[in-house]
Amino acid sequence: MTLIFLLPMVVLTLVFQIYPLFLNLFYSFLNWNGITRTANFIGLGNYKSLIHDGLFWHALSNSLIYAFLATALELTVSFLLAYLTEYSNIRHKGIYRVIFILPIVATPATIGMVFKSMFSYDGLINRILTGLGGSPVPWLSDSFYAFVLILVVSVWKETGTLYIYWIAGFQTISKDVVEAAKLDGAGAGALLWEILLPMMKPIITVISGMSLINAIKQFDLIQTLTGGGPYFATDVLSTYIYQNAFSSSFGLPRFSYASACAIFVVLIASGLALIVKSVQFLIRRRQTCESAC
Amino acid sequence: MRKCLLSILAAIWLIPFIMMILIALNGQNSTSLTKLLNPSYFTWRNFTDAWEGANFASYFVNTLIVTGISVLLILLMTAMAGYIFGRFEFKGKKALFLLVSAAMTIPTIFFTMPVYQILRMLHAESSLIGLILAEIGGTHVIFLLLFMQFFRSIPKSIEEAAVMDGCTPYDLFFRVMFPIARPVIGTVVVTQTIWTWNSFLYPLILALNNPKIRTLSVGLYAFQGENQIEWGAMAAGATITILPMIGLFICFQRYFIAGIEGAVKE
Repeated sequence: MTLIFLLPMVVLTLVFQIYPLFLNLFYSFLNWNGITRTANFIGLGNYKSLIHDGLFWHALSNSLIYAFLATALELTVSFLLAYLTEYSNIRHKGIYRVIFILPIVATPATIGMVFKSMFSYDGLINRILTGLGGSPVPWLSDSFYAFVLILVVSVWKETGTLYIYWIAGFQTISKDVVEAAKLDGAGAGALLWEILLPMMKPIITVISGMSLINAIKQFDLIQTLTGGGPYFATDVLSTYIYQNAFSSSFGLPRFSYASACAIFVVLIASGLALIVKSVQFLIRRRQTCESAC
Repeated sequence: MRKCLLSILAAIWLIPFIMMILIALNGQNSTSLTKLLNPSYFTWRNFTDAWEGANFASYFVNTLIVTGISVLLILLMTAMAGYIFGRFEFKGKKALFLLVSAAMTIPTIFFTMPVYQILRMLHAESSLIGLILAEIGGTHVIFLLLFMQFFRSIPKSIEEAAVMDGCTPYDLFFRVMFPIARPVIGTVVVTQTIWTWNSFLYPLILALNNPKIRTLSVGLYAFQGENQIEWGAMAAGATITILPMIGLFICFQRYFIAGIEGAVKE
């Protein structure tokens, strides 16, 4: 029975996760478009061209910049939202929670469509800007603003997940501690900086690591908003791989080249995960030291 | 002051949803607020256009099939594996657990090339079956962990009583253990339904050569590229896509939140 119950999961893991790892490595040594029956073995050829591929390095740097900026912004905004919901005596807190979590359940293509309508040249946002005396911004056709737009949408979309974690964190802090601090005359600022934030430290390290790794994986939002454009300006690693393997942006698909990129990405993602894990470990050790002393 | 700030932020958070509905219910194919807020342009026509004219009816059925079957299979698979991992000791347990959770931090994009070729070998690269295989082939470690924790916490006495009554090991799981795991089942079903419904990468790739298998998410994306911009019908399609998930989330938010929280527990 042990065997039969584990079989579906183990077989699927082997076929769709473990075997693909080796398959990808194998493809990366070929010169193949993914369609023909035969392919040439070119050894490290794909990796050599990867090193000289400016678009690849551009996508890599975009990925890293995006991951760090998005994580920082999402952490701040979600904390602010959670703090405001939990520590203001507003009625119907449940409704606010629903509103801030709602974007997580929104379909990426829907988000792409709606935000494109809002940020189009004569859309809502530019109307507001011109109404305030500014000039309209070419959100989707300018490489800088397209990147800003992606960040804005990311914050709107991904904040909900972190918001759930913050709320859960706030609820572990006992109301007695907060009441005692207030009785001792702590103002709102002191309560926030000297009590709430320090008590959240363990949560902060876990969720910032997690959202960093998720941001490196981001594909859906960028593909539906800009498709990596204008002219590859907002390409990240995942959209670059997609275009090489499956879309006609480069003429014939460069399937095995995309595999080589993917191997590179896994190395970077694992490296990042390793760094995150060791930083978390160090922080945890320091905290146990501090509390022991 | 905090109340005020919170209300403003909540209003900003809702703007995209409101815009979507306003555009969908407006007959002027426009994104300009003056037209959108004029009640004389109100119409339901965009919805019939999207549903019949732009194939959203068939996208909807495809999405329903893929989501329903994937969620059911993922539920059974993680429950059975979680039961074994949570309640039994056997040789190689740790190694096996490492194996099924190994790919957790690897981005989905990495798997798309080899999985596409594997599905091609199975002649399923542009069929709904292939899409379902790709969806259930991902990592489901969060749900596995939730089931493990749950089954571990059940007292031995329940098991012993069932065995005394003559339960076979299979009866014990399907008639006793699985039914009492209702809270975890709820979490897995609600969370995975939302994820599969919204899934984008595999549906996009597998539907490239066969538009017939498009799901809502891909159908809407393709709709933006194929036509001259029809804001009204697009927004109606977006509303059709998103509304079932909003309903599901509002009715069962407790389960969904538990699913998201499961991800940090590791």
